[in-house]
Amino acid sequence: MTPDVRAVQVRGLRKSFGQVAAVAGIDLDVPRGCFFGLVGPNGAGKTTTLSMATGLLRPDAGTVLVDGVDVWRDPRGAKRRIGVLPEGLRLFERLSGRELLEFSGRLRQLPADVVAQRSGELLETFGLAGAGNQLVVDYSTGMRKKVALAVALLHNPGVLFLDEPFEAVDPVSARTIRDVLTRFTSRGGTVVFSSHVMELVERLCDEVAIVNGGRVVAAGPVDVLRAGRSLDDVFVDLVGARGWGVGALDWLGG
Amino acid sequence: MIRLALALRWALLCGALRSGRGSTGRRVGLAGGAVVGLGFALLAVAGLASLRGSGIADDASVVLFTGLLVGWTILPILTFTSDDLLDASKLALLPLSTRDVLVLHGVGALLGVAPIATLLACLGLVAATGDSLASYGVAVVAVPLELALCVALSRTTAASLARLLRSRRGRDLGVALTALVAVSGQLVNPLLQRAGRSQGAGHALHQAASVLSTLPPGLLASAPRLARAGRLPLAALHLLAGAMAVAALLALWARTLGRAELSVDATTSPSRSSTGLIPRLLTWVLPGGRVGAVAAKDLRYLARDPRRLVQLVTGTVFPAFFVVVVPLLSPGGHLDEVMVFAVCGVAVFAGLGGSNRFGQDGTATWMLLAAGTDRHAARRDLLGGDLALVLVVVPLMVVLGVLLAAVTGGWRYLPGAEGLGLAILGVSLGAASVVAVVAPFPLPEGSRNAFSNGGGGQGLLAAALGFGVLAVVAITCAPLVALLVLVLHPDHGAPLLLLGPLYGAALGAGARELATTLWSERGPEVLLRLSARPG
Repeated sequence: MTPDVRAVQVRGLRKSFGQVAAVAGIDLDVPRGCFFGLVGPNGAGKTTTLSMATGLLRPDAGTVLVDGVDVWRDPRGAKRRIGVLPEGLRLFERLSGRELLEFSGRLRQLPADVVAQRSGELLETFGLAGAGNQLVVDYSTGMRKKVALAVALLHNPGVLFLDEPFEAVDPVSARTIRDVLTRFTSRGGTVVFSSHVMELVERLCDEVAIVNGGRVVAAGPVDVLRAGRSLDDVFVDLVGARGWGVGALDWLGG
Repeated sequence: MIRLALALRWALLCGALRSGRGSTGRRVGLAGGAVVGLGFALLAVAGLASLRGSGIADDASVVLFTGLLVGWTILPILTFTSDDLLDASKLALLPLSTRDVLVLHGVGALLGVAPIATLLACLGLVAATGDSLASYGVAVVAVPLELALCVALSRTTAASLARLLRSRRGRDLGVALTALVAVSGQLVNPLLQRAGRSQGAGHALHQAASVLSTLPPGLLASAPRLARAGRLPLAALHLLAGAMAVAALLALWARTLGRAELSVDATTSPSRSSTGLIPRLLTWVLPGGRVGAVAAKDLRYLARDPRRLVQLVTGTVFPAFFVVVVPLLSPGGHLDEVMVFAVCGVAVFAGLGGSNRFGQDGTATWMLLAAGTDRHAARRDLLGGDLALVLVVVPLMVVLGVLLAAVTGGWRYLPGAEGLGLAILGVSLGAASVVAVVAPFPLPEGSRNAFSNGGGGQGLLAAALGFGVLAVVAITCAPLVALLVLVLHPDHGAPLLLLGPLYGAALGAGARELATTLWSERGPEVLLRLSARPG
C-alpha cells in the first residue's frame, strides 16, 4: 500500500450555531508539502472550518485527519503535528514576546534549551529580536501576527493552519511571513491558510478551495481552477457579486 | 462654535445611550451617576443652606470647592478613553485653530452630569453665604469662576497627560485608579470617623479649611465670608486671584493642546531585562514544564495586569483591613484574640479568585487547547494556576496571622488558625477549579472597570458560583472545625498545622481530578463560551 500523500483530509465537516449552519458539509484534501489556500467571502465558514480542523471548536459531524491522525479521536497525537495561528483570539499579551514563546514551549514540554535556541532564531527571523522583551500588548498588529506565527512554528509542526495570516500586516512583515512559509513548504511542511487577498493566494498557493455558504464550491490546483483567467474573476463568478444600479455614484470624480 | 460644542456634546451623549452593545450598561451608569452626583449636590446645597452664616458653613465651602477641583482633576484620567471630547488628537484632522479646540472642549465640558452636579453643589456657596448683599454678589461671581477653574484644570491635565493616557500604561493607570477611588471611600471613612471623634468634626474641618483656603478654590470659597465681614477689597482680591488662576490655566491648556494634538503615543513598553518566563526568585520553587509555565504566567499577570492585581488586593488585603483596622478604630475598640482566625477568610477569598481562571485568560485559552489538553496536560494547567495562588496567598496568610497575633496577643490561636486556613485554601482552590471549567464566563476585554464581570447577568452568576464554593468549603471543612473546637480546643490547634494542609491538599486534589476530567473533555466548549465577548 502506498503511503497516504495527504497531509490533511477533511470529510463531511459540519457546524451549526443555533439555526445557522456555519459549515454545511466540507470535504478537503490537502497534499503533503502543499501551500493550500482557503478563500471565501466574509461569513463563508473559513474560520469555523480552521477552528474545527485544529481542535479548537468541536464539529457537529465529520472527521479531520492530520498526517492520518484523527484530530478529535487522538487530539494529543494530532496537535503535536499542528501549528495554529487563529484569527480573533488573543495571545497572553501581558507576557513579552520571548516569554510567550517560552510559555508555549513549556506547554508542549519541549526541553528548555531547545525552546531558548528556537525562540532566539524565530525572533531574529521575524525581526522581533529587539522587541523580544517588550510586552505583546504593546506590539503592533503585524508584530502580533509574527509572534503568533513564531508560536505556531516553535514545536516544528508538519502542518500549519493559518487564519488570515496577512490581514492588517505591513508589506515588509508580509514579505517576511511569506518567505518563512515558502521555506517551510519547500522542506516538506504543509500550509493551509485562509485569505481574502486573491492576488496573494494566486501567487503563493499550489491548490485552493473556494468556500461559500459553508460549502466548498470549487477546489483544485490553482492553474486548473483559473483556466487562464485571474483567480479574482473565478472567485467573483463562483461566489456571485452584486452589481450596482445604473447611474449610481455618477457624480464621483466628475 | 459654542453652539457647535454644545450640539456635539449632546450628540455624543445621545449616541452613547442609543441601543447597541453595552448601551444598557451606559444607561444604567449615567442614571446611577446622575442620582449619585445630583444627590450629592443637593445634599451639599441643603447642608450649607441649613448652616448659613456660620463658621462651619464657611469651612465646609472651602473644603467642598477644593474637593470638587480635585475630583475634576482626576476625572480625565478615568474617562480619557471613553470621553471623545477629552482627546485633542481626535480633532487633529479637522481644520480647527487651537482656540476652536479650546472652545469645543471647554464648552463641551459644561454639558453633562458632572458639570451640572458641580454647578449645583457650588450654588451651595450662595445658599450658605448669609444675608449681606455684597457677599451674595461675591458668591455669584465665585461660582462660575470655580466651575471655570475645574474645567480648565481638568482639560489641562488631560492635554498634558494625553500621550500617557492614550497609551496602554495610561489605561492601566486608569483601571487601577478607578478601583482605588471606588474603594478608598470605604477605607478613609473609618479613619475620618476616628479623627472626628478624637478632636471634634468641626475642629478637623476648620484645620483643613485654614490650609486649603490659601489655594485658588479656597480663595474663591472664602471670598463671600470676607465680603460679609466688610472686607470687600480683600474679597475682590480673592476673586481676582481665582480669575488669574483660570486665565493662567487657560494659557497653559492652549500651549499643551498644540503639543497634545501633534504628539504620538508614548512608547509604552520599555524593553524589560530578559529574565525568562519564570521570575528569577522563583526558579527553585516553580517546577519546569507545563505546571511551572502556567504558574509563572499567572504570577506575571498578577504583577502586570492591573485588573488581576486589583482583584487580588480587594479580595485579600481589603477584607483583612476591615477585619483588623475597623474594629480597632471603633469606640473602645479592641480586637479579640480569636480574631486570629480571620486568616481563614483570606484563604476563602483567594480560592474564589481561581473560580474564573479561564475567563480571566479570555480567548488566550486557545494556547492551552492548541498545545493539547489530555488528562496529564489538563491536570498540569489546573495545578499551575493553583500553585500561583498558593505562592501569593500563603505568605499573605502567614503575615496576617502573625500581625493579628501580635496585635491581639492571641499567639496560642495562631497554629490552629493557620492550619485551618490552609485546609480551607486547599478545598476552596479545588472547588474553584471545578467551577472554572463548568461555568467560565468572559470578562469584558479592555474594560476600564477592574470589578466588571460583564453584562448579561454575569455578576449574578459570579455571585451564585461564589456562594457555591463557600457552601462546599463550609460543608467539607466542618469536620475539621469540629475537631478543633470540640476535641483539640482552638488554642491547642498545633496538630492542625500538619493535618490542615494534608486535609486541604487531599480534598483539593479530589476536586481537581474532577476538574481535570472536565477540562480535558470540555476544552473546546470552554473556549466557545469565552469567545462570546461581552461589552
